[in-house]
Amino acid sequence: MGGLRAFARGEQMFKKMFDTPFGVWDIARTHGTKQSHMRTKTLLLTAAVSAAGLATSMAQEVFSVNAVGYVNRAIPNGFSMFSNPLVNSDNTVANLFTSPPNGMTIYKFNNATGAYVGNTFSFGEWGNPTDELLPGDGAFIFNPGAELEITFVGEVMQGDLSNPIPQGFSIKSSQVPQAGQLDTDLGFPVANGDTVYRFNSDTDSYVGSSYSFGEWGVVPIVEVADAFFVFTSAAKSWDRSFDVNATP
Amino acid sequence: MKKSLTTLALLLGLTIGVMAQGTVNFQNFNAEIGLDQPIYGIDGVTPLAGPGFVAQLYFSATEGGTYTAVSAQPAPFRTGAGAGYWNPGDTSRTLDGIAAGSTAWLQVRVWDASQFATFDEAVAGGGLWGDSILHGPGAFSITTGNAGSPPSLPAGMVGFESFALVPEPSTFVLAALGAVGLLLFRRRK
Repeated sequence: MGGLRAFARGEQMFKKMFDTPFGVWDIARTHGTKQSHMRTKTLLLTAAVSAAGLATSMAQEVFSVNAVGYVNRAIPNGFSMFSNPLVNSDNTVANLFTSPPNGMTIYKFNNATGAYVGNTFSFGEWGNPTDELLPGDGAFIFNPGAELEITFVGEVMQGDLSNPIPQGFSIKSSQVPQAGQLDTDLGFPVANGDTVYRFNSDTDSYVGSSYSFGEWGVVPIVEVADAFFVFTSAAKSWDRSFDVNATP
Repeated sequence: MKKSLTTLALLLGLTIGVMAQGTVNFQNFNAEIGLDQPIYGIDGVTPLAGPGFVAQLYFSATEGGTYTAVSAQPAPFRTGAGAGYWNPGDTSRTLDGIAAGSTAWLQVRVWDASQFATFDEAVAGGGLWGDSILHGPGAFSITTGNAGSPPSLPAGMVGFESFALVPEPSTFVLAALGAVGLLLFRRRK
């Protein structure tokens, strides 16, 4: 299962905040980056927000600084696109993928050159183990073996967030680990002519969502830890203010 | 030896059968490649509008070959500010039988789907229709997408140009009759 727990500075736990019908666990202490066989789960941000809503209705004021959790992600055989949904003290591929199969490759797209940069795990080591993947970035991954379950552990990004979108093509993701429609739910600053390409690993092909004349051809819905290609004619910033404790 | 050759042929056939298929970005407004080529009605000026009109992508491995429609449904035309441009939904179109990264010749056919279910029916039945080969600059070729590792994005329709629909035959007939009538009138005079 996945969950979220908010800590106050000084690690004082405001127990009443968690006296809710939603299950929250001390995830950070019991889970590391171990691989599990559980199916992909979505971070229960809705639960956390609801819990915070309950907390604010109580007499005691609760201020939570950071929110820690984990997200399970299935990496299928072959090519797929993914992102790191949580920020950690160590966001390198070596820490995100501790036991990858031999031949696994992560491809990051270079907007300036229009080419991929590949990082392969072979014979026990990554070609570039210090390469980082942060929330808001994205990459292709090639898995030569059976479907792999990985667990991302870290903090939810909060506050005033900014994700630069360069002119042309880039691979991006939501800095906030939420699922939903890219523009209306996740705040992507869509403009006429923008196109979003999501890769379907079942068919090994892209689904293109183009925004033209005020409408999407296919509405882009993304899941937590998804990444996608985006084309835009002018560079811009994907800005969003997010607070786990904000009342919905 | 015979058995080995047969096995090899089967394996090759299977390999070819599962090779990635070429893909195209089916839009006539595509900011990625600076494409802005609306389709016009029979007057050649008014952008074609409304879901009654549809556009379909046809393709061939060679310029003079037989053109085949993609398997996806035809794309309806937009209205308002989007008049002249079809809405493909998913912009990607797969060209069955065309290997990813190889060259394909393309053709766009437009017809009045409110009256005729297919392009061929619209032509045979005297409906409104248009064709990028007959009424535009001709067929154009592109290098298809979905090639390489990771797969490349669908290729934009570089070389596609605007065209107008053909008037209905009744319009032609009226125009021809009018011309003949005028000629006869002048001769009598």
